[in-house]
Amino acid sequence: MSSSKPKPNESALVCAARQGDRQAIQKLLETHWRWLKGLLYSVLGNADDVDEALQSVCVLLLDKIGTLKDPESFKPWLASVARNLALTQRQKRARKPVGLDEFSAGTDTPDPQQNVLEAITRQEQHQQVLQAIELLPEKYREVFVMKYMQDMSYAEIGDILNLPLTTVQMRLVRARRMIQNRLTGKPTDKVPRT
Amino acid sequence: MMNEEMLEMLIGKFLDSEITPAEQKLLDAELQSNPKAKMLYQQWQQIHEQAGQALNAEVIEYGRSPEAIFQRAVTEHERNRWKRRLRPVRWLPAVGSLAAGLLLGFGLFSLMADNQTESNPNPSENVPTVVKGEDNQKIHPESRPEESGPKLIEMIEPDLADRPVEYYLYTDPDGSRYVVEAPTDEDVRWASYRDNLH
Repeated sequence: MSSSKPKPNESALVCAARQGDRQAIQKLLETHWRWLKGLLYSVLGNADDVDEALQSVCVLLLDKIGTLKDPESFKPWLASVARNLALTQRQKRARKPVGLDEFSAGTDTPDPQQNVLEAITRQEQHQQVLQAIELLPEKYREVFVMKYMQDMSYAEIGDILNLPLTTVQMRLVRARRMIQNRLTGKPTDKVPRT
Repeated sequence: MMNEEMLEMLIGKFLDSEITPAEQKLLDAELQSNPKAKMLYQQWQQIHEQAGQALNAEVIEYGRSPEAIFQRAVTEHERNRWKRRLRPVRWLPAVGSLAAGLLLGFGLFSLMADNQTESNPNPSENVPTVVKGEDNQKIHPESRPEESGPKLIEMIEPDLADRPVEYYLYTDPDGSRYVVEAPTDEDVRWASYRDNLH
């Protein structure tokens, strides 16, 4: 996990941010903007709500950065703050999550014989993939989206989400399998424990 | 031939640039010898590319810039700070109610005390209801003793028993009777009486 250690200038930024330096806070946010956005998206499942959640995260960061004790744990702390806030926002919105099975029971299921390439080229490719991602169980979606938002290493994702490296790896494999099954119309897996 | 889980893991690691050289060799060999493995690889490669593009378009390129969101957050943060400063503390209403209650109670008490004083303006005229004569018999005000002229009496109220005072019955020329309290320091003053003494 050595690659996930914060760079020296990041620790300095966190220290400055804790003292109330707004430029440092802004710089930190910009550095982690992509995965932060991805994490919020993975919880909210809707790009329209992400900006509002991001603003709330910024406000919370301005309010609470002084309470962060260890500058090196900034990323997991930020991830935790963002996830909790997104969960609260989602609860307020009272949006019912759609299960993968429900999604698979849809009438637009492609022919199982078709391969991924054919299925994607015939329909709106991005929307199909996005829909499949959105319907992943949350813990898989979270890892998958973070991987693709900032091309993070397993170690970085594990560091932020406080997960072992092998768990990150397995969740990515299973997420891809579930997306593949969705796109090819194969029956979906039961959700594994990891 | 590699099992499916192992194959998926190696393809995943390859796509994520986490594969080791040894694993890469294993994967290459499997892809060359196993058409199903190659097909799976192609499908995952497709998902990998599509997911990256779709998420970037949907999430990263969508919405306001980080600077704009941060500036709005700063404004909101400042507004919240002022709101917090101006907001009355939560316990203030409770304290206010308590203070109002105390004031009201004190006012009522004062009013009642005033009324009591008005109905009996000379508290020193309160009399013991029961006194004893020299013969140690209780003298009730209603009993109208036959004595005339000053007579030593003794108060039986326990809290007054050890006070250095003496009590006298006094009948004035009109026949009205009074109980006279006389401190032993010779500072004689009216003690008390009741209507029904005469």
